[in-house]
Amino acid sequence: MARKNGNKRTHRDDAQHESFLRHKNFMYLKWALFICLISIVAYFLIDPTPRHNGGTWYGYTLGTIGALLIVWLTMLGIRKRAITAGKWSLKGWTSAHVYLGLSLTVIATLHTGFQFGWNIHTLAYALMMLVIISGAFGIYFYANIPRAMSENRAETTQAEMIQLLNSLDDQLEDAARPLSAQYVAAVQSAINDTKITGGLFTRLSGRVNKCATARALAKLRDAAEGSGSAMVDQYGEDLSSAISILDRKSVMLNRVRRHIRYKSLLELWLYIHVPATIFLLAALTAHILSVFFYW
Amino acid sequence: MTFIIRKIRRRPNGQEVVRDQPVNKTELTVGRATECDIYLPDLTVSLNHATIEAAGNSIRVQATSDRPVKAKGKFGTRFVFPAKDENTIGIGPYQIKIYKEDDSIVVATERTEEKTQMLQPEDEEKIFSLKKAVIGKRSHAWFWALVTVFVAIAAPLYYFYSDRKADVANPIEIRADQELIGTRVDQLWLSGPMSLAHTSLADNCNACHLNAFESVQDVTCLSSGCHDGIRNHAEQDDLWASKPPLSAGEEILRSVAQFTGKNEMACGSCHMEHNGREGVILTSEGTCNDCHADMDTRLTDTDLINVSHFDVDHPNFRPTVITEPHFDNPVTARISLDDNPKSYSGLKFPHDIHLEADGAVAKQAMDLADEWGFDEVLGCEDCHQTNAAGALFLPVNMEQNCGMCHSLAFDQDPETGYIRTLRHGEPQDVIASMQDFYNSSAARLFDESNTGGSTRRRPGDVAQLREDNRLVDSLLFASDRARQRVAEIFNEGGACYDCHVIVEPEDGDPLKYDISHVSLEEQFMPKTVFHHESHDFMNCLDCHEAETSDSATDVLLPGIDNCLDCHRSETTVNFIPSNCLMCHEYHDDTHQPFMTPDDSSRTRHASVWPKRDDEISVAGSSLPQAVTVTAEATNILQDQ
Repeated sequence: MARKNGNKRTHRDDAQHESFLRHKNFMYLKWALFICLISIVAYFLIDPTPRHNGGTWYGYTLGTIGALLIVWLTMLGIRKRAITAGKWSLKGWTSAHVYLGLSLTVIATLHTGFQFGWNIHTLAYALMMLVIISGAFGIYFYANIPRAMSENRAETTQAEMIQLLNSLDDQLEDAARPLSAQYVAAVQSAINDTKITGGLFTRLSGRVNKCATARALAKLRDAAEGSGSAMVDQYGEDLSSAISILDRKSVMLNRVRRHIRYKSLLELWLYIHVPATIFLLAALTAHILSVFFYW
Repeated sequence: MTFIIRKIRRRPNGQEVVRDQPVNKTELTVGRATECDIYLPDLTVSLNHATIEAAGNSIRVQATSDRPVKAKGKFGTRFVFPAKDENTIGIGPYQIKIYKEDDSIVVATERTEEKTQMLQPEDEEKIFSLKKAVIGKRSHAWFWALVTVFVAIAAPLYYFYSDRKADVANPIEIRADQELIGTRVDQLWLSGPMSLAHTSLADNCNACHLNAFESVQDVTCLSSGCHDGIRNHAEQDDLWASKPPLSAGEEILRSVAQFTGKNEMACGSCHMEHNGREGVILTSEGTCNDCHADMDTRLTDTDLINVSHFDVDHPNFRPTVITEPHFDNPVTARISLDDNPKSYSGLKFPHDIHLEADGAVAKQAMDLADEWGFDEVLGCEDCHQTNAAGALFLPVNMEQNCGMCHSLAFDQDPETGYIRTLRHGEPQDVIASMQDFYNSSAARLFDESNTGGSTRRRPGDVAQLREDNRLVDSLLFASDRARQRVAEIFNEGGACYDCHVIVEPEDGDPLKYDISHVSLEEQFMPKTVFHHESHDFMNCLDCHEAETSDSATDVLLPGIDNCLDCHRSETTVNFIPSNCLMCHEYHDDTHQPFMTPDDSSRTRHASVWPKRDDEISVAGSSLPQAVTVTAEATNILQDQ
């Protein structure tokens, strides 16, 4: 069930679950901060000629550390497919992945010496930052969305959501039978034409414009509340029954769409994170090759 | 006639379930409304969709709503069939067969189109996952990785090898062709903008990078018509010895560099390209201080003084002054201004008298103002002229710079008014000329002293000659006159004496007067060029204390404190930031001993760094250049 009690949640986290972010009391966060601090202090203490860039001894050192880190961070993609426990648990690995990955922003930026241009070197840097930023979004979503998602779906599975919608459609069909043709058409449209979701942006927005169910609901509500009282008399009970089902379907649809929105947010960053990583590996190869080719 | 309404349902195993209901009517209503005889509960069916009427031998089907009925393969509102046949109509998802059975008409209704639900369980993935909504991760990844491999790896490599094949020997030529092509994809490999001077090479990697995985070689810079003849700062070994110990990181980089064959003392190790347009010349003080701040601790045999910053740790200037003038080989020494050096040029020249506002010199300047353009008093520029570059001053020249006032005239022809002038720079020539002049006057005396029997004499020199020994007297008289006049010019009040140190004749013979050796410094600071032209907003006397100098031995060079009034180290805020290169050159190729890589056999650059062809070696002199300069000055004097 939805966890509303903050204290209870903390207790539960401490007792049963430790997220990858808090792994071993933030051990890898501390390591990452330590590496960043050393890198920054060294950057200011070392005075290379003529200026900081990737080609000084410190630049090469940072570059080597950065490249090895990138390769190791990429290995999570392979590592995660084998779940193990213990010292090198997947959770520990993920924790290190997150914090050491974030430390790359400092290591690689210092490696550049703040020299940027329209070239393969800056492309590699930009891709790395894209990977890291998308990863940061991933962390944010992983930290925040599952709870909202769980509250939203209220322990309903996706398959149950489909069943519920179908069942509401069935009920709607039954309820609409006595109604006159124009309302039947609206209800039919609600059954046949309702789009659960659409493309990427529809999914991320969590709502669908011109939803057939919403329109049918509005139309029947107008009929019930406003105009022909004769009709209300004639169909009164059937109409309110249909309206009530449409209302339930509408609520259900909103819940489903929110669910899709959350799920999309949880998935989308990976659609950037993963291809950008492969792109980065290629650009990094070109970067390193070019540096030593024109040594 | 009765109808039998027959409802057929099928079980999942295909078995039919039939339920008959006889109805004693001649017309049946069909529709979604529950009161209809044939109740078809589907929203595609109208409330009262149609009627089926038995009329004699025919069956009439009449649509009663705005929705049609399907029969005989088409939609219509009214159909009439012969009652004896079996006929089929379709309403919504239902199929209704109408046929005669005994005396009744059977209307058999069966739902033939099963209701399909909008959402199927197998659509779960499609509905909830992003997979179908966006391009897959793998296709993205592969696409961009392949693009990178082709554009950022394969293409630059292709260009490198095709250019290299084109012409390795003359890489600059390739560039001309490439300019037509424009920017190429291999520019992606440029690690940063080229310096301004090398911009034109940006399109042509092969111009400098001759071989793959090999650093740019010095020979590439020093040949191919670009930087031929540039010489190194000092001996490679001395350069290494004067460097401070490498940091641990630098040691690592050095070992990596050595491992990969990169020369750590190559041109490129200081002149780092691809670092922006501002240039590849290191101007930071740190570049020099690294070695020079405490160089004597590492380079123990150097006579160079440690320097770190101009305003803190720079020794006072040490001009090269002449300690003993000589026409050919003056003796020079480098003496700090702190030690109040004296310059012995062999000349007399009090600056103070020449710059006085109300003295004799000023009066003469006024007299000659029209002729020479003097102001009311003499100015520095009246005698000192800058060289063509405007940086330094030309050596003072007697005829041009002194002769305006200091005339060498010694006689004027009374008849023609011609002024006879002595030749400067050749004392023996001067004496000989004067002798010749007075000897020639002997003939005139002889001639004019001939009274022709008259006892009357013409007044003047000839009056002193006796008639009877006229010739000898004339000659003796002329000779005495010459000696007298020579002695005059070499003694106080004479033209030579004013400026020169006179060598008195040992036997007192005036014809053996001579002047002492003269040498002039052309440049007090031969290791640097002071740019006078960039200081021309100032007055000469702001720096050079000439007004109070009463001796030619004064070295009127301003000390470092004078410079510090305006110039400070490169980090200064309130003064003019001044780094080493503002005064000193690194690849100085004009002044020894900055550049002496003569024995390069022990260095890697033996065949690369050019040798001086004008190297002068003078034993015992640390500053041979000063010798050449003064020798030139002497030559000028001698020529005149």
